[in-house]
Amino acid sequence: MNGRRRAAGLTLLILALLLPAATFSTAPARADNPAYSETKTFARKHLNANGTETVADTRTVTVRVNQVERLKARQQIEVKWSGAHPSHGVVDNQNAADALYQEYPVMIMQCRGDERSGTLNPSTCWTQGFDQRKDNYNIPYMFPPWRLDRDATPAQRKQVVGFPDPVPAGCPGPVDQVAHYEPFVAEDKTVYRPLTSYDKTDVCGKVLAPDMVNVEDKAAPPGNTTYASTDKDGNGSARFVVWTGLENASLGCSATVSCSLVVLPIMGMSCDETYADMPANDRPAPGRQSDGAQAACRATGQHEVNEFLPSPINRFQVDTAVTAANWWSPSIWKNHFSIKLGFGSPANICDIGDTRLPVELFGSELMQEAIAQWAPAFCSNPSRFKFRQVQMGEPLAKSNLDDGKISAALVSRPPDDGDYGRPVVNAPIAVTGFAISYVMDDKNHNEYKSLKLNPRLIAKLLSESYPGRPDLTALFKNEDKLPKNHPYRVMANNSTFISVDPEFKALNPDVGDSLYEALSASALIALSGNSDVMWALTSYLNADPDARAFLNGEPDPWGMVVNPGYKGIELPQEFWPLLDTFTDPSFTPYSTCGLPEEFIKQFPMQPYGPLLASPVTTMMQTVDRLQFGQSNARIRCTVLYDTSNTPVSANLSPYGRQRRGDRFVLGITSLAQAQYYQLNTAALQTTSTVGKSAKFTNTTGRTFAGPSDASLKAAMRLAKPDATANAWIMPYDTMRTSAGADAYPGTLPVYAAVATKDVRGDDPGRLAQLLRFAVGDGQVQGSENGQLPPGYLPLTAANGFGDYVQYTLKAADAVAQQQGEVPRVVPGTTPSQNGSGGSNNGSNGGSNGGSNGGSGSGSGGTTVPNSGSRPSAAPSTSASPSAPPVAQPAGTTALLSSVLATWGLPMVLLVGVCAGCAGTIMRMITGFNDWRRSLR
Amino acid sequence: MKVLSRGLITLAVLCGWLLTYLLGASALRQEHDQRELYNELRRTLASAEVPIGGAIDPGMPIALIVAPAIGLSQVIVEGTDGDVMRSAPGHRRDTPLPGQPGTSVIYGHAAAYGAPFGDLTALAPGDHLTITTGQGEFDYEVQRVRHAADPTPAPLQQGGSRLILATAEGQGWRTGWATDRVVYVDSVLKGDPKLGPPGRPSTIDVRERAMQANPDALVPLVLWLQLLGAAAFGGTWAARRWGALQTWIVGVPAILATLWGVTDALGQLLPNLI
Repeated sequence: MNGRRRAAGLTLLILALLLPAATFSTAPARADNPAYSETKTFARKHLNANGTETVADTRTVTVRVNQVERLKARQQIEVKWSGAHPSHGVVDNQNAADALYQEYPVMIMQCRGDERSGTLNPSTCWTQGFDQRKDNYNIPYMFPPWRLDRDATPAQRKQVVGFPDPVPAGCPGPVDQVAHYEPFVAEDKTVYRPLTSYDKTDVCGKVLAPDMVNVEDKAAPPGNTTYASTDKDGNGSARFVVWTGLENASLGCSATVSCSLVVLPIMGMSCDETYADMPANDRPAPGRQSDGAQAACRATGQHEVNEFLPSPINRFQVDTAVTAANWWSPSIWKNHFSIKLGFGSPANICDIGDTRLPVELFGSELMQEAIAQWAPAFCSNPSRFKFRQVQMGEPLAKSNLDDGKISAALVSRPPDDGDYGRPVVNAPIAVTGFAISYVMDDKNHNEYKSLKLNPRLIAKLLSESYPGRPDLTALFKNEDKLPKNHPYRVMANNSTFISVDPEFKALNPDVGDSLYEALSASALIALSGNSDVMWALTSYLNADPDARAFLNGEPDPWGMVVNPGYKGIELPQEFWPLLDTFTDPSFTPYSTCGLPEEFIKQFPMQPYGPLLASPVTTMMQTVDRLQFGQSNARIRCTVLYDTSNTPVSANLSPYGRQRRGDRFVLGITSLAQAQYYQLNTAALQTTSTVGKSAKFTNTTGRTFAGPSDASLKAAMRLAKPDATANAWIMPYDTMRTSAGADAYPGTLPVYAAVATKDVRGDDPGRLAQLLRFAVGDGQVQGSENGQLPPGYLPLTAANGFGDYVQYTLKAADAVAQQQGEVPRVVPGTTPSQNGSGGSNNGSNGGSNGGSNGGSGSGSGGTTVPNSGSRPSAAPSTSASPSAPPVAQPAGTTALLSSVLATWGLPMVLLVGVCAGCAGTIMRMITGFNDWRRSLR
Repeated sequence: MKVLSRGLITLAVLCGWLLTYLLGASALRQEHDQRELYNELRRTLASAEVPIGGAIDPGMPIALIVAPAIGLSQVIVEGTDGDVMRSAPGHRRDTPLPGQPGTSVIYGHAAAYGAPFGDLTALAPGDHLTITTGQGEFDYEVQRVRHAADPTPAPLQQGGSRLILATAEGQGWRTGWATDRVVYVDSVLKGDPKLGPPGRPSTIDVRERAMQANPDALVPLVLWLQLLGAAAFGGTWAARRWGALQTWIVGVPAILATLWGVTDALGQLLPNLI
């Protein structure tokens, strides 16, 4: 018995080790098996006054990129390099405007053109800031390193380079004494020059390209220009978000306009001391002036390897000759790697090419990526039709379907009783799920990629049980300030941050205490609206005895207790409520504002937990945060002053970018988003043989499953057809037993819930065609239009989904016929009460005198509260004014009228007038008769 | 013959009263309720108690809508059934609150109960609506007045906020009193929406949808009718015992009060946008 248990434990352990390593079979090649790899040797060679050459440095650099073909809007690719010069002074934000002043960075940018056609040069390369394109001085006879560049022509070493020539009328000439202005040439051939002090008036020519900024806006999504750092061994990596013409029209990359990724390892300027061919006034005077200029040009850095420089930094703190400040200068630029990028068809292709009104599917964000690939295969095909997804929370889509406002919804959890109030089939069209995605750094400040989470840790994060501030923990402990029976006293022994929680450390020993960014770390970015994903996640928590016991108020093995606001919370739920209510006069979330206490006392008190949690409305917003390592915790304080400079109030806004090397951001995304944007995903605990009150220091006795084809398949094997719901249901109770040891708990099927009655016009045939496609050609994996993108497990008989496919085909027939028929998932069972009657409409008609005559009129419903956006227009990182997405009407307004309203008041008036007339006439007749009688 | 003619005249008076009440006198009631709601909203705004999300009880004042172009200034209450809409335009409970991301919907009477939304169709694209909620002031710009068969607005951009005002309109001789077709005014938020707490209801009752009556009003209607009957019977009985003049003095207020109650309940059985 004992031996068998040990053997089972060992098997589970091996599985636990193997599974996180497995990934989706169609995931883009990781950088270990790169799509691009090239090695080049560079040298920094100075030319001395006597004509001899000094070799200052030689490096052999290899650059690898994991994907360069079929790129899509906002896709994130991974660039790795080795052999580069170690970086000296480094900053935390590699996309910031001041990051170019790091010493020996590797600059990565996106440029229009390519090497082969000779169209690539610095003026086609995008930089977010306009300061990154110029180097200017107000001292005459200044010789910055670029004026000594031995590879530059005499024209490139003049006092002022890049000023419009001839000078336009009305332009007073350059302001700077010495300056290099590197122009930017937009896709429409407009030239923008970063000229000093004409940025408002444009008298000397255009300055700022659309999307380009001259100051850094902290709230805006960062530009993709990256100044990455190299470690002491010469290795480094960076994730780079590629842009198409939709995100950046000035750059304008697309399937037809070729673009390149430029990786530029900064080696330092190669200097010329001979000044041959240079006119007299472009030579530094021999002696002190020349020596000083040469020293600055040949400098090798003022800082230690990987020394951290606190932001903001400027050019006087560093040796500019070895920074990216002069990246356009020929002897620096010549060291670039250029990698031609291939783009897929644009995301808005259906809106541009097809003016037909689309068929709309409402609901699940889990389907966004699949539909973005499926829709172009439909709208570009005349025998098919145009459709699009209107994204909204699944519960809202279900209720709209119930109301008769829409005919098709995408949901993961059909109603438990199978009753939509009208005949509806739940046709499975995809198997995917949610992921806990993260960006995190380990003890050695490198990216951490093997996060493991158990349900209790997720419950701790969601239930706001980490105080998140040391002074808050201290307050819970302080018996003088909080009365003994105060409910929040129980949190006195809680770990202040997740990164110091012994349970987290046991599962993730490689993550350090992460104290630098700990204040903004202890939260899991969840969804604020109702969603089937939150239902699935909370079902997973609820099924786990450890997590459930913790939420019921039982302390964990280390004495941590749930936030009293959540004690005994009923799960599962469609949204996660924010229930922390602790406020106390001796604690204020505004203490980071740097204001005197008397001001802070005036600000309204608010509980700290909800500020840390700060849920978002869509998973896409979480993706934005994770791509750039931004924490959403609302703890950054902005003070608002009145005209007399007295602080009047303070805003708590999202914390924003975390320092590279100490990042710690977790959030809920879809599996497909995690694949598309190449986010790291956590492996979730599936089974545990460790008791709920036993302390532990490693993962022994636990199994974990990350998202992969195999683990999704294992989870779906456990899903059982349910006769009541008339769909396949994820059994969270079974999944936590040994049968589900290798089943990924975040797995979810997506159903197209389509009405089989009262859908009008061409829609029934089209929806049926779409269903047949979804379980046929649509399940072929790939990155082409019409194929299934990574992040979805193909719904095919080969994967064991034969019965699902058969059911969806039957459902397609029922949808096409519109006879109100609903095929059964479990053959031979009968639908629940109202399942097939359309009785809702009937009963309304009865009780209200037929007053809802127009309310069931299909997809043109008028008051559908659609809070989502089209998936095809991926939210742009920076909206470009020149290429707005084509806005199309969603349909036409249905006539909504009421018989009661039409005839109610007129009938009352008619009856009143008739009765009044008849009564008066009868009265007159009787009166006349009385009068005649009285005469007699 | 005499009895029949009396009965017919009484019926005519009753019909006339019903019309007078719905299209005229009910405005008094609405105006009174608005004053009360306005005071309540002022109080809750000042003490930051205005609900800004989650499940809100129907009838709670949640916002003030002002449209200078048509002289509209009304307190908005939560819920859209016939009961609460006697006092104020109602906010549909399954939509986000005004000023929050998503599409909010507000219903208002076009002719009855003070006709708060009677002039809504006079709004022109570019006009501004100002909504004050517990989260601040929001400026919406009118995009269009949308009748049946007009194209519906394009889907919202991610994180955008739209406000749809809905009321009824009549055509031809129905204009202004027998309004029977739903008409919408679409407007979009200028500026950034603010997130509210989660937990908004995702479904609503049939009676809260557009152009629906409130069947719950049958109960008070029956009670008021019984009272009216009792008052009439009492009047007849008193006329025999006390004499005509005395009965008129006592009976008219009683009859008027019960009549008011009957028509008030009857009004809820009419569609909620009239």
